[in-house]
Order: sequence, then C-alpha cells, then structure tokens
Amino acid sequence: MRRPGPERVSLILRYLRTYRRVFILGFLCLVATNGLTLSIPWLLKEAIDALGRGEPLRRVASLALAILLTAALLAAIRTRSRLFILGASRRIVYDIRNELYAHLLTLPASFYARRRTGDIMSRAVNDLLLIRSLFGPGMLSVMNIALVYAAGLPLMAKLDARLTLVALLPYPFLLAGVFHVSRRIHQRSNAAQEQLAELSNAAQETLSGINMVKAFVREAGQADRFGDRSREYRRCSLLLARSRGLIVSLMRGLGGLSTLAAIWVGGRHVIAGTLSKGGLVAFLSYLALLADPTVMMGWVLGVFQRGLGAIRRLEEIWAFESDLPGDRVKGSGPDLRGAITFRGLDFTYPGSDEGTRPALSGVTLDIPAGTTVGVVGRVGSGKTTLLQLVAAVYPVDHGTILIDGHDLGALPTGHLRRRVAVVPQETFLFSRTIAENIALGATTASRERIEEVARLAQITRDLPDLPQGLDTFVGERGVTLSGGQRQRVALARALLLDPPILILDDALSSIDADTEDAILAGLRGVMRRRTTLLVSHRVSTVLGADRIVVLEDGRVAESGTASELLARNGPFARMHRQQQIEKELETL
Amino acid sequence: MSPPAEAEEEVLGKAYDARLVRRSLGDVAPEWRLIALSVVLMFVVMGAQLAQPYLFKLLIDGPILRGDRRGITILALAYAVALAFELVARYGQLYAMELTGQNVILRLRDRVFRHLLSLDSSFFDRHAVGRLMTRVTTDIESLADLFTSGVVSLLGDSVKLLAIVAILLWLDWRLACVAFALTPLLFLLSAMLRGRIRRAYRDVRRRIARINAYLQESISGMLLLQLFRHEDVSTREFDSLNSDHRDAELRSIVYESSFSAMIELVGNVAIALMIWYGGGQMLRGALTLGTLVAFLEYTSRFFGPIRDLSGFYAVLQAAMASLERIFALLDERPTVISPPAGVSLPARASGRIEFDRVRFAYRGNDDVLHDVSLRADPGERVAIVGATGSGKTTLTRLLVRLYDVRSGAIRVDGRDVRALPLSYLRRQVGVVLQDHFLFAGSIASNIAFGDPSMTRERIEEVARAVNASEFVDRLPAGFAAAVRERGGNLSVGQKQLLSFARALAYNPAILVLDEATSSVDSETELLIQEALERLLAGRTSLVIAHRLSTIVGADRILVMHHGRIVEEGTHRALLEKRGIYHRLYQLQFGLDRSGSGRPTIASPEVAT
Repeated sequence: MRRPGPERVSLILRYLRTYRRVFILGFLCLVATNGLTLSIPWLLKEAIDALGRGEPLRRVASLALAILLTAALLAAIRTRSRLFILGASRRIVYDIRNELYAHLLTLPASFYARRRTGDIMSRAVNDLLLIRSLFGPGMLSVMNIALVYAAGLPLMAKLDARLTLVALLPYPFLLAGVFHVSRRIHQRSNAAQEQLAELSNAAQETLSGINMVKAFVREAGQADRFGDRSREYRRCSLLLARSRGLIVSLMRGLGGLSTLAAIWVGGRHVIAGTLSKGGLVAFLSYLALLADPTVMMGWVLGVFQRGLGAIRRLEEIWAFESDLPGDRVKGSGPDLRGAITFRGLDFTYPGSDEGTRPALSGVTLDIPAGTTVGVVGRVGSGKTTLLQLVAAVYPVDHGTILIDGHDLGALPTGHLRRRVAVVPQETFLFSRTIAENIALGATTASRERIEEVARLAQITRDLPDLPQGLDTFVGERGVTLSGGQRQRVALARALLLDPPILILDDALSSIDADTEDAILAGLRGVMRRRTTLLVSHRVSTVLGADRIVVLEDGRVAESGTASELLARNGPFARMHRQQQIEKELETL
Repeated sequence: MSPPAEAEEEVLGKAYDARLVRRSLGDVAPEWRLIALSVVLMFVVMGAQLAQPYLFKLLIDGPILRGDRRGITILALAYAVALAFELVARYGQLYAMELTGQNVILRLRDRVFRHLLSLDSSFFDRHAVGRLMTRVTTDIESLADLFTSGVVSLLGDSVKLLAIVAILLWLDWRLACVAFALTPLLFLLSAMLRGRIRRAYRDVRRRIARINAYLQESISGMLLLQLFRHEDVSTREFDSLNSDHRDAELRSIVYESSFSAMIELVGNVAIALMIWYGGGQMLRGALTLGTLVAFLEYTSRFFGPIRDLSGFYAVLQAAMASLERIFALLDERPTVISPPAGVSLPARASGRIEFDRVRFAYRGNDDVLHDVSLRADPGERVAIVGATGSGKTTLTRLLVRLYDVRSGAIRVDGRDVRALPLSYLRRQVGVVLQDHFLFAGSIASNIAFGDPSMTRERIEEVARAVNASEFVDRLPAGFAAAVRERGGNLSVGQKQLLSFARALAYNPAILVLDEATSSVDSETELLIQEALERLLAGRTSLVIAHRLSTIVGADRILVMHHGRIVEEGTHRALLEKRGIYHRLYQLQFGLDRSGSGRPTIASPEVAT
C-alpha cells in the first residue's frame, strides 16, 4: 500500500514551476531592489568624499536628492517583490491543502485506524505553515541573499579588494558552525513538535473521558501524567532555545568580526591613502547590508529544514494510497441486484500484530438478491468485519466476495458504495443540519425525499422538540441529539440511498422499543425489495430472517433458516435456549 | 452549512489590558530573578551595541585623521571587546527569556489543566473538547511567544530607541532634529495601516479556524464520507473554505508588505535629509565627518526597533486574547464542590442509597427528573427500567455527583452526598458508563485505572471474573497489549468487557451499571451476569438497561417514565400489575406465546 514517495525536492520544484511566472517577476523585482539598495551606500560615499573635498553644497544636495528618489523607487519595488513571492506561497499552500484534503478522502479505513486524528491535523495545520514559510519568506530570503552577495561583493572589491578578502575571512568558518548548529536545531525542533503533539493527545484524551476520570477519582493522576508530558515538552523547548541562542550569537559574531577586520585593516588603508574616508564608510555600509542577509542565512536554513521536514511528513501521507482494488477500477460498473457470495473468505485486519487470530476465516455463504440474512455471534466473532468487507471498507485478503457474480474488487468502489447503504454500529453525525446529515449520500435529494425517509426512520415524531425541525443544526454548535435520535438520522441517511443492499450493524440498539416497532413497520416494504444484512446481538431479532448465519471466532459455525438451526441443536439453538431459559425464569 | 455562531477564537480584543496583565503577574512573579537577569543582560547587549557606532566616530575623527595606526588597533580591540560582550550577553539573555517563558507556561498550563479537571460535567456539556484543548495548547503557546519574542525585547527596544535619541541629541541636537523629523510621519502611517492589518489578520485567523474545524470533522467521519460517496461535495466545500482563507491571506500581505517597505523608505529619506543638512553644517565647520557617520549608523539602528515594535503589537494582541480566554476558563467555578472532610467516615460505606424527592434539569427549568424518591438497602440489587430519555442515566450521574440535584437530596448511608468529600463518594460508587471510554495504555493499565498500584494477579483475577480474560489471552501481548486512544483497536464488546473489569477492580461498595448490556450478544451477556452475581455479593447495585433480561435477577425493579418512578416491585409483581413494565416486557420478548409481542425486524411477513 506504500509507494515510494517522490523526492522532497521535486515537490518544491513542481510548485516553483507552476508559479514560475510569479517567482520570476518577484526575482526581477528583487534584482532591482538590491541594485537600488546597494546604490545608496555608493551615493553616500560620493557625498562624504565630496564633503571631504569641500565641494559646494549644491553637489551634496543633489546626491541627497538622488538618495531620496532611489529610496522612493526602492519602497515601491520592494513592495511588489514581496507581493509576488509571498502571494505565491499563499497560493501554493492553498493548492497543497486542497491536494492533501482530496488525498485524505481517498485513504482507506486501514490508514485511519493507525493514525490519530491529532497527528493528521497537526500535519495539515502546522506542517502547512512550515511549507508556507519555505515558499514565502524562505524563497524571498534565499533570492535576496544570493543577490546581495552577487552585487555587494564586486562593489566592495572595487572599493578595496584586499580589505574585502580580510573582512570575509571569518565567513567560511562561522558558516560551517552555523550549518552544524542548524542541523541540531532541526532535530530539536522536531523533538519539541512531537512532544507538543503528545501533550495535546494526553489533554484530548483526558478531557474526552472526563466523566470516567471523575467517577474513578483519577483527576490528580491524570493531571500528573499531563504534567510529566508538559515538563518533557519544556525540556525539549529549552534544548531548542539553546541551539537557537547559539545560532543568533554566531551570526551576529560573523557580522561583527567582519566589521572588526574592516576597522582595523580599512583604517590603515585610509591612512596609507589606498582607500578614501567615504570609501571606508561605504564599505562599512556594505558590510552592514551583507550582515542582515547573512544573519538571515541561519534562519533561512532553519526555514528550509523545517519546511523539508514538513514536506517529508506530508509525503508520508501521500505515500499511502487506497488498498482497495475497486479504487483502481476505472469506468462505470454493472447494475447490481444484490446477490452476495462469499467464497473461502479470510480476513486479518491490516497492521494487526503477528499471530493475531484472523477476524474471519474460511467464510463461504450464498445470499440471493432480495433476501434478509441475520448475522449473530459473540463479541469479536467477526460480524461487523463481514459487513464492512461487503461495503469495501477493507480489501479482501484471501478468498472472494462476489456481488451478482462480479468480483467485489473488480467493481469500482464508488459504484459499489452507491448500492450498499450502511447503518454503522457507532453513529457519526456531522455538525450540519439534520436534513444535511440525511442527505450525505445524495446532496441533490429533494426535500420531499428527505422528509419521506425521515418519516420512515421515525425522526418526524421528534420534530416538535427540535427548534428548526429538520433544519436544526446538530453537533458542537447546535443541539445535542440522544443516541436513539442519532441512530435514526443514520438510518434515514442509508434509506435515502434507496440501495439494493442494506446493511444494519446493530443499528437500532439505542432506540427505544416503541420507536423501533414503528421503524420496523415502516421498513417492511423497503426491506422486501432489497438484500438486507442484519447484525444483531439478540436472537429474537433475526428469528424471522430468510437465513441466519452464526459466526464463531471468525468462522461460520452454522447457517440456515431459524427452524433448521433450531432443529440442528447447534450454537444458535444454544443461544436461543438461553433466551428461552431467561424468559422461563421470569415467568416462575 | 455555515455554523450559526462565531467561534470565540474569532474575537480579538485590545493589545493591552491592564486587568489581564495584573492578573498574570502572579504567574510571572516567581521568575523575577530570571527576568531581572535578562533585563540586566539586555542592557549589556544594548550598551555594547550602541558603543559600536560611537567607536566608528572616534575612529574617523581620531586615529584616521591623525594617521595613528596604534590608535586604530586600540579602537579595533575596543570594538572586539564590545562585540564579545554583546554576543555572550545576547545568548544569556535569549536563554534566560526562554527559560522564563517556559517556566511560566509550565506553571500556567498545569494550573489550567488541573482547573479543567475540577470543573463539572455540565461545563463539559457546554464546551467542546476541541475548544478546551486550545486553551491548554495554542493559547498557552502564544503566551510563550510573548516571553520569548516579547516582553523583554519590547522593553529593550523602547530603551534602545530612547538611548539613540539621547545620544544623537548629545552629539548634535540640530542634526538630531533633522533625523527625527520624519518619525511623526512614521507613527501616523503605521497607526493608519495598523487597523487594516489587524482586521486582515483577524480574517485570516477566522478562516483558518473554519478550515481546521471542517478538516477535523471530516477526518473523524471519514468512513461515512466515503461510504456515502460524499467526496466530491466535500472537496468542493473544502475548496471554498480554503480559497476564502487564501484570499484573506493575500489581502493581509498587501498591507504587511507596504508597511515594511514604508519603514525602510522613511529610514532612507532620513539619511538623505541628514546628508543634505549635515553636509551644509560640515561645510560651515559645525560638524565633523565622524559625527555624521555616527549619525548615519545610529539612525540605521533606529528604524529596526520601530518595525519590531509594530510586529510586537500583533504578538501582544494574540497573547492578550489568549490570556483573556485562559482567565475566563480559570474563572469558571465548579458548582459541584467537595465539602471539607469533617466527620470521620468509614473506609467503606455500607451502601444504602436514598433519593429523596429529587428534581433535576440539565438546562434551565427543563426538568428531566420530577420528585424521584428511591431507596436501595446495602447489598440490594435494584434494576431501573424505562424508555430512552426517561431519566435513568441521569440518576446514576447524580449519584456520583457529576451533577447536583436541583432540589431534594441524595443520601449514601444516610449522609447527603453533598456533605461527603467527592473523592470519598466516588471511591464508594463504581460506574460503568454508556460509552465504555478506555484510555491509551495497556489492557492492564485500563483495568487498574482506578488504582494504578494494583497487582497483576488482581488484574487477571478481575478480568477472569468478567470473562474478559478469554479475548485478552488471545492477544499476542496479553494484558500488556496496547489499547489505543479511546480503545480504537478493540471491538465495542471488548471495550465493554474491559470497562466491566475496570469497575470491578475498583471494588466499590456501590456499583452502577448503565446500559452496559446493550451491545453484547446474549451468550456473553449471560457470562457477564454470572460474573456479576458473584461479584455483586456485599455490594449495592443500580442496574440500568433497555434489555430486561439483564435485570430479571434484581431484588427490586423501578420503572421510570418521563422522569418519574411510576412502578416499583419484583419482576412477578410488576408483570401481574400489567402496567408499563408489562408492556416493556412484552415488547422485549416479542416471541412470547401470548402473541402480543412486537414484530421483530426479520419477522416472516417482513422478509418475504
């Protein structure tokens, strides 16, 4: 399921190419900007030397005017350069965010089972910020540094070549140190980032389970655990701060040493007459101009390292792709009536530990179209797994599932899922209106259809309690629905699809008996026309199914009609008898 | 699908709020030594920095003019000393500041988290976990920013500005006036732009918050999005949020870019003015070249801090907004308060429970319990039945004081629960809540949740008692097997068995089972009931379930209906009464020979 990720650098190149026009324009603006910036010290030199020679004020004033005009032009062009390059970085992040989201939508359940939501969120939030810095301020500074050096060095050399050489002598040594420290910064910043994620996870978990924490009087224990993580994060942050402090000092030292060299050697050159006073002042100005970008170099290095790290983490996500064969099938699939055949089906959850018992083994079943099949079995016997395989939540490992004789893996996943509607065991509603939640699978459904399925699922009986009826907003910022109400919304959502295959995974467990009756009465007509897979932990629920399948440890222990199974005196009969005994106990 | 209410994150206030700052001083004060140290170091940095242009002046007006090579060497040495001081002090100052910030936020974060854990369930009903998370993470981080990039450098920058002004006035007050002539213009411009920049940033933050909320929800509900083929619609919705955000970002860049270019412009114009005016002065002999050069150097250091100050404004504003939210959270007071431990209490309660005319509402006057009175004697097993929303779960929540009653009283062993220390009460009452919440850790650590010092033998014994050892033994790592966040790698049934084991390991005097049997198949349910029979000995229990089969063995059954107890008695007596209980019973056991049962989902006329 992993494919080798494209080179990190290639992502950068790809976006540089996509936005090359903007980057080139930005670069040209920067060339102009730097030309103008560097000409200011030159004008300064001219002015000072003119003053030294005692030239008339008019000459100096015109040089001052030249500085003024240059500065005005500089401000205008600098603004443009930033707009081009920073703007491109924002557009790139927009593109990447869209791509990432589109990719997340294609990733299979096995991916989400292994990744914590917080991890994925932190990729999408923090890592994108790092990438933004890489393309925005990062690129801007790289170009700027290159240009300042390219233009500044020749000008300095022209003033005094020997002085330039001496002044730049400390650069190689200090730069080597800087590179070394920034590598460490990179590692330490990753470590701190990871600790922060750990910290959030600890908080998230404790707060989500707050009632459990309180009931078991574990507040202090959980707070201590959080405190430990918090201290660990502090430790990592301080290590990072040390490296950062070091690099700031190193960088400043770099500029300082050059200036020192300029004073010492340059001063002698002025005395010797090989350099004018104005030349020394200009030289110092150029050094100051070089110092800023040089100090930036360490920062830019960090930006690039963090950005590349972020790209690497994003590409870990990109490297995953759907493990469902149906996702690679192109074109439209055949019309389905809903006959389901399982042949020698084995299944082990992807990523389970070595030696874990398969969730399903050797399951062979024939389910004719339009029949209702009850699936019963103990906890962990594989009921939910079986249903999930039909909905192509996980790929089939060994054996086959055929729908109307077509291999499940040969059917385009989207095509299949439009025809298989699932009401899962655990209900998930989005923070939208009830109607929007129902219309999840068919956003274009008419209001009449939505109301019709809402009636079928008996949501309508609760409407008087909901402030805006079906348009009531649910979730964090709206009303909180009860477990039963939520399950009914999930049921309506499935019914709206009008599917040939309907899967109910213990889907009415939180619904009270009266409401369940009404739902079932309404569903009779619906179920008559489609294949229904019905998981229940209650024997009585499935007694009237066309066929009952009993799963034990992932195997089909037995299957048949209720009366056949009862006559066989196997596990089903045993489960049934248990319920009978309970009943008899009660009537004593 | 836009949310009806604006998130609180979206509100941004002023950049300085004296009330907030005063309050936060309590958290900062213990670090006064570090702060003092970094202020001192900051002055060293500043002194060393500001000495450097003056050395240039001395160099040009002195040794260079005189052709004094030794003088040059001395000045170069002086420069080297200044530089060394600056570097060491700067490193120390950065580290001291980071240390201060980290210490403050460590303390604050711990305080906020402990405070959160002390708040009521009703508080958590009103606030989404995600929002609370940002209090202990992002909000506190933005305070760290305030320290590392903030407070001291703010102070440093302001002092540096004043020092430069003073030095320049001292060097030549007329030229200084020329140099500063443009400063009012700078302040005017930045005041004009600042409002726009702030609004633009607020827009950006508001929109990124929407993107992140949408993303978070999509990831949580990914399987459903996929099963219901919602990908295309969702991609479009995401794109529209994403492009809104991009547009806001692009707007903010325009202001940001022109702002920084403008500061540079003003700096360069000041240079031009100084050359023009200073040149004139020099020609008249009223100014030396060295002074002019020093002026140019100082002014180039003048506009940097001004730019930093305006950047600091944003940091300060974010920090104030965070502080505001953090303090609002710290101001939340729990209404469920533990009384001081006064009377001496037996280590283990005998387990008598009394509800005396209890009324309760989650919100306002919307009572979910009306005058509920019930009593359970030590060791008695009381079953509570009723339809969803009849108030059964509420009873259990009130018993462990996740909420307090509106009127009436709940007593354990004759003592009002509000008079018992919370930890004592909750130590006496073990609960199995509806959602079987498990924590990341191992199977063993989840079973021993209530008492981390529990022995391995006891853990295994408890697991065996609830028949959880069967599936645990099948795991390769056994009891050491990892349990993921919320028990994500376990089935609903396994989670339930573990939450049973957890409650039993807690060995409480009173056990509350809430809906605990709704998702287990009948066979497992029977095994659990056997285990419970054994373990309930000597324990008072309240068992709540839709499924009557689990409570048939109860000593007494209470039937709840619309927040009232409407029937009470033994199973047989209640059946004979032919009331609500009888009706519930018939619905549950649809295959009853009486033929009055409910139609089951797969009854023949449905399926054929």
